[in-house]
Amino acid sequence: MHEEEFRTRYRAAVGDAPDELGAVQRAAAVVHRAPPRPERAGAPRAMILVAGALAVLVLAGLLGPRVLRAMPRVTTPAAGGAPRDAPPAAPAVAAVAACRLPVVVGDYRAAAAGQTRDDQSTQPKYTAGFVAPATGDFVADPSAQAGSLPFSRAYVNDNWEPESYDPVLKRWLPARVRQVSPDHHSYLYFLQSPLATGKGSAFDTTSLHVYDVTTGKDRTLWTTHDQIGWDATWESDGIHASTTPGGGGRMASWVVDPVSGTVVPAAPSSPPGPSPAEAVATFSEYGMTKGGQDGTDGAGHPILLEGSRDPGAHYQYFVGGPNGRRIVIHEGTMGDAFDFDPAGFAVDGDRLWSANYDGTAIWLWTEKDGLKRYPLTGVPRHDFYVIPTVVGPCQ
Amino acid sequence: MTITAAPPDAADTASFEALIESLLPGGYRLAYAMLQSQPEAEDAIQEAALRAWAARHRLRPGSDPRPWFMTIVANQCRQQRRSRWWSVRKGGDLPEGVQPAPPVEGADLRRALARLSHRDRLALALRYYLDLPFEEIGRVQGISPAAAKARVHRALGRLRLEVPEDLNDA
Repeated sequence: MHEEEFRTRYRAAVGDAPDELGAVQRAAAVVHRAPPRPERAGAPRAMILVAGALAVLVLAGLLGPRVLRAMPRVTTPAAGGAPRDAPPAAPAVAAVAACRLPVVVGDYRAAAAGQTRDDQSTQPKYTAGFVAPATGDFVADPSAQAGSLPFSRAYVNDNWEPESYDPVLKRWLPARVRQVSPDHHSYLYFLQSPLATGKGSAFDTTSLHVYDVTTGKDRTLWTTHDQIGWDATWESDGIHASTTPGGGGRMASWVVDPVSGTVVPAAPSSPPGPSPAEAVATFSEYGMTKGGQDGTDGAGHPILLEGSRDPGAHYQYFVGGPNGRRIVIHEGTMGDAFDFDPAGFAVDGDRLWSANYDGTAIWLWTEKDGLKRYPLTGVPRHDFYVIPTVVGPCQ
Repeated sequence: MTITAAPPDAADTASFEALIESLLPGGYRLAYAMLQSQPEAEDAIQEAALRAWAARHRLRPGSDPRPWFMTIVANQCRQQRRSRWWSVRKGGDLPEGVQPAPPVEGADLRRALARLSHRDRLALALRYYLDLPFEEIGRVQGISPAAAKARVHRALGRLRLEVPEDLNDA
């Protein structure tokens, strides 16, 4: 069965959401009437609120010490946390005719057949290698091994996974491109303790680590009773990370100093975070109703997909430029002969690379030259459970 | 639903309304896919909208609010499903007052979906009902894109055991 076949059956089973317009209008009306601190009338709701308030007071008494422990800790600078060298210059963008593109092929066939994460044999399998766009051949790289590189772990059976290929270190890393330090010496990763089994994810702490590939030194930057989000990134002003309480609750955002481990709220001003107007600017200025974000370009602009995957539906991939400007990567009809179905994007200077989900093509896009297709060979084709992903710049 | 309103800051309210109204259609569709009930999906999306309002200052600067809102919707759906856990225990019967899902086609698949864990059902809904890229599925579920791919495929594997006739060769 192809993915589209399953999608069709799934949607037929679930059915269309009835009265979508009416439901949305009613929800919008609720928001329209919402005060800054919603206080809804009605005996049952009022009783729930009173009971909830009492519960919060009781819980605060019981859990106070735990909550305090969960506050971010300021860790002492670790030995070896010396100021970093000046960042090496990023390699120049390589000529397409002579470069190799790092690609990881994820094989989820065993994972789909397994029932729990406890069974090691059901873990996804990843093959890292390079594709020369000039020939289209995927060649596995035997050096893509974990070796001594530590990697993020939440489950007992989590395995090493090559998530990027660093053009300066010339190594496969178990961290995404934006989790590598600006000087390309180190990367960040997470550990959960205790590690979970497939039957649950209860944990006591999570910790943020920095591993220096050039010296082999590992430092624990921050340990917290909250869950540190996977989407932490290493920016020029520090490591941006979010946390969620272990039992669920509101997310908080932090900036962690990669040298001292000092943790400060990401938005310390009052009120924290952007105004709703700013948030509107990041999303609705492109007028999207259906679709999603599929990464960012080299300038930090969102890469967006508008449209559904219904056969025959119109879709558009575009980079969200300033002032609502759409820089179109490609638009077409789902199922058309062009078959543009990118599995994420990799930034390479002003270029964007992608592999097609079905393993048949590599795509290169620039604003100046548009979209180009390169045939891909050496990767299983049209296999629902095998997905190739470009994980770094061409070099 | 009746609301006793104190006058909020007009500019703040207007901009939030503009934001939330663009997010509501996707949120409602997600709630419907997760709950399989129009009234419950409406309750979920209304509650999620209010929660989003209360938490609007927690949006990170420059961040995309949609994964944030979808997470709120998904959490609300989980809470509502917990409150009617017995309906799942009884094999997918719908609670009193809830409209039955109209399509007869795919009844076995629907029941199998109802027996999946919240996170597996959410991963499938985001991928196959909302057509989201794995990058965004990961953002909603708080995991990496690679982990989102693995989660979707694991969920498919669990479904296949339940309804092999619907997922033959998948």
